[in-house]
Amino acid sequence: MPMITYPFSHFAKTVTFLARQAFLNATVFRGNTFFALFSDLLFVFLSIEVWQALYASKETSLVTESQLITYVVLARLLPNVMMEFVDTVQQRILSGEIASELLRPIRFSVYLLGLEIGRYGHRFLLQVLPIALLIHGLIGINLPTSGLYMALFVISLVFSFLLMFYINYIISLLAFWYTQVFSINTIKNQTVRFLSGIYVPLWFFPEWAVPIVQSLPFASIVYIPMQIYLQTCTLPQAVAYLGLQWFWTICMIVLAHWIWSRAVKQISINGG
Amino acid sequence: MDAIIVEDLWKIYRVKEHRNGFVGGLIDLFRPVWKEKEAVRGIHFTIPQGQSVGYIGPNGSGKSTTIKMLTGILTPTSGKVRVNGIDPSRRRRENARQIGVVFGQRTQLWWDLAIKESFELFRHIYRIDEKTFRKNVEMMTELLDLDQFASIPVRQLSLGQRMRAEIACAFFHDPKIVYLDEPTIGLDVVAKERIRTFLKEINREKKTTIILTTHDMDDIEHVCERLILIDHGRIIYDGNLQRFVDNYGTDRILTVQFEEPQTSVELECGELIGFDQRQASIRFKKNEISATKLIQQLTARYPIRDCQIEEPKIEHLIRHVYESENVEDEGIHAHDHISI
Amino acid sequence: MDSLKLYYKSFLLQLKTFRIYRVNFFASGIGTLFVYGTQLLGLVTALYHFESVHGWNLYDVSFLYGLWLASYGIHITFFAGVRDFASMVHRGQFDILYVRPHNLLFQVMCGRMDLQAMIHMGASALVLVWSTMHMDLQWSWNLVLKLAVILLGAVLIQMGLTLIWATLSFWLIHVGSLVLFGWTINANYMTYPLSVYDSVIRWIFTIFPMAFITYFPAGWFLGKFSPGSWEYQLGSFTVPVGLLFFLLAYAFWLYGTKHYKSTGN
Repeated sequence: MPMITYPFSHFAKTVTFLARQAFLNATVFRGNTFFALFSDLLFVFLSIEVWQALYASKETSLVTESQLITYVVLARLLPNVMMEFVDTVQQRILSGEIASELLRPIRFSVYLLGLEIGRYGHRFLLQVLPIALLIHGLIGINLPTSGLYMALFVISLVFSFLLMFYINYIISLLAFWYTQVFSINTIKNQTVRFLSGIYVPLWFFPEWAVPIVQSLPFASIVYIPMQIYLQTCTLPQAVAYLGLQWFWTICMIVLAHWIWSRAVKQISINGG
Repeated sequence: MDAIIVEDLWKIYRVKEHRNGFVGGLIDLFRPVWKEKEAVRGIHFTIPQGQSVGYIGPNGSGKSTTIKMLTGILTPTSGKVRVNGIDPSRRRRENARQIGVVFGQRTQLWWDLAIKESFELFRHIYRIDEKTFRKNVEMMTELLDLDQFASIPVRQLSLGQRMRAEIACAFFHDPKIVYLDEPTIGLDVVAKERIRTFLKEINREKKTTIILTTHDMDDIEHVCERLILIDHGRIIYDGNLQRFVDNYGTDRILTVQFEEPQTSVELECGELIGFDQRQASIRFKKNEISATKLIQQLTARYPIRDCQIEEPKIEHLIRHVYESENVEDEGIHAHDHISI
Repeated sequence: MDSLKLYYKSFLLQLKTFRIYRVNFFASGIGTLFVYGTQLLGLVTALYHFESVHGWNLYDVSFLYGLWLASYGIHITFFAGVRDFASMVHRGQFDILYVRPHNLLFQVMCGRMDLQAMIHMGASALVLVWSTMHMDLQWSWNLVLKLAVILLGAVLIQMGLTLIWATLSFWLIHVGSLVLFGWTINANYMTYPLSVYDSVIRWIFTIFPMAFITYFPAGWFLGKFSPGSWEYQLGSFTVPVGLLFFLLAYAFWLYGTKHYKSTGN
């Protein structure tokens, strides 16, 4: 398939349109909306108590208790590890219906990205924000004191979202070559949860492991944005972190496009 | 002896009404609105052992609900059900031993295995002794012609082949009654024919009571001696099938397309219900003239390009019953079903 | 006797279909192991840094995890059909079981046997052996018996829990998210000692006995509670608690089967 290039304004328009559609779609009431809210709240609450107990059992100079609590709350809420489109794309690849995606006038990844932005917006407004505010009201979590850090955090969060999106996208495309999607998805989810610092903040990894894990792309999803949010790094460090996030995002985009082009070849040879 | 006795049988469902939107959903969570839906409203009938009965009605008429109460799947809201003298919802397992059920839409066979593996499991489910089992498998294999695909995994079978195997499963344990729910749905003419012949034969030879629900009037005409018609949870016809067909069920509609435009159509038989220059629709009674004969008559006079025969729909039959008997749809008498 | 034979015959048929899905089996097995591996790694990493929490060290907490995994694996051996019951109801396949002359729950159990259970049990055995190797337990027949007793109790509670979720699918459509909810609590939160939570949560998981799968029996088995304390008493009572809970769940199931509204036509 020939590479088609669009002017950026066109790209932005398409993405905004798709995101809006997906956002509205997500607002349609579903039976388990409240249940998802309740269970997330409970999990966050239980996690706080676990980490408070752990924190109390040994002196640590790495972080303060309130920083740890803030980390635990936001690390559970912010990242969307399992994006909704993965299942659908995999099923369409396995059934062969994916061929029709080549007929779309826009690039497949852009189409999915637009939808996922809308869904994330919905999740952020109706799940992340209410729970975070409630916890803040009950227990109190740290808020950034500096506007500059806050701005850097927002940029960092955008990178985190893009990175998570492209990882999910790459995993979904693997269904072209490997049909056991349950196991690939599980391996992806669990790797992200462990290495990004959702299960355990990277501060508490064994000392020798920290530099390695920090430089892996997964740390850019949770650990790095949280470092900036908590202002536990200096400004130059924060900028360097953003550079690392940017690097990994570009890598994933290039990898994703390469895999997609291989997949397209596969479709045109096998007819999907 | 009566195989089935049903007296003043009711089934009322309580269904939740949903409010709209996010706020509505929140209110639903704490103050749900319940609505009562009367699926079966005080029906009566008795079916003697060995009879073959067609139980028909449109979707949502209470037809499936009745069958589910007879088989013990659903517990009635009130009323009496006796199947071989047993209350199926209270003594489900005892009842289950004496009945066979064929679900047209759900499979009882193991998807990845050959049918004979599933058959063997049925022997254990119903504790059938070896001799009876062999005899019955042989009989079913012959009557339903199962031999040619007995060792192919079920998922590779055609719908018709699968349905034949499903039906066979319902008969291994010599049940006194067999319920068949839409056994011919989606099948071609040949496959339908084979199933109808089988049911007739087994009913004659083994004196098995057969309760058949279907959308296809032809199934009923071939297999059943008695017809029960249900609509809005009430029985609106219960009686001899032949008489029903004579009175209501005989209309067919033949639509023909002409090679060249015609100015008028003259008929020896039947009634012209639609006509434009290229096409005509004719309603005729099956017992007065056969479709072939009617087409012959027409081709003799007009150049025919194409023709199509429409079977009567159950909805039409129901309307006929209402029209000719003045049955009140919302009647309040306990015995408002008509017997002819 | 007849029932056992039927169960055995169903099992044989399952084995035959297994051959067709061998690749699937191994791939899912790897996925499953990966989940448990990373979860345990999370616990171990946290406890490696903080050394202990409320008197439970890395190996004690791993033992909690192993106990949970073992009870889950053993219960899946018999209850895979019950675990997947919601889809059976939604596809209308449950109707079929009503017209057969056997106990409904027994038929659900016959309908599906998940060989993945072997992977669960293998993994849990490894975790239990590894964690107890690092404790100074005086192994004796008495202790083995004790281990069997706490496993039995935990399995009964798991079964009761799964049966409750299954029964709820008579009324609710999204039981899947409830199952995941329960599973997450067991796997991620009940694998820390219950004492880390505040009193409300401790009460909730004591009365709705999820803490009887891991915390109370493990504390009793490992000698974490002083003899005579109420935790110790509760820990020694997991089997009766499990039995009672399972019977209550079964009563709920019976109630559900009477009020089953078969869907579709």
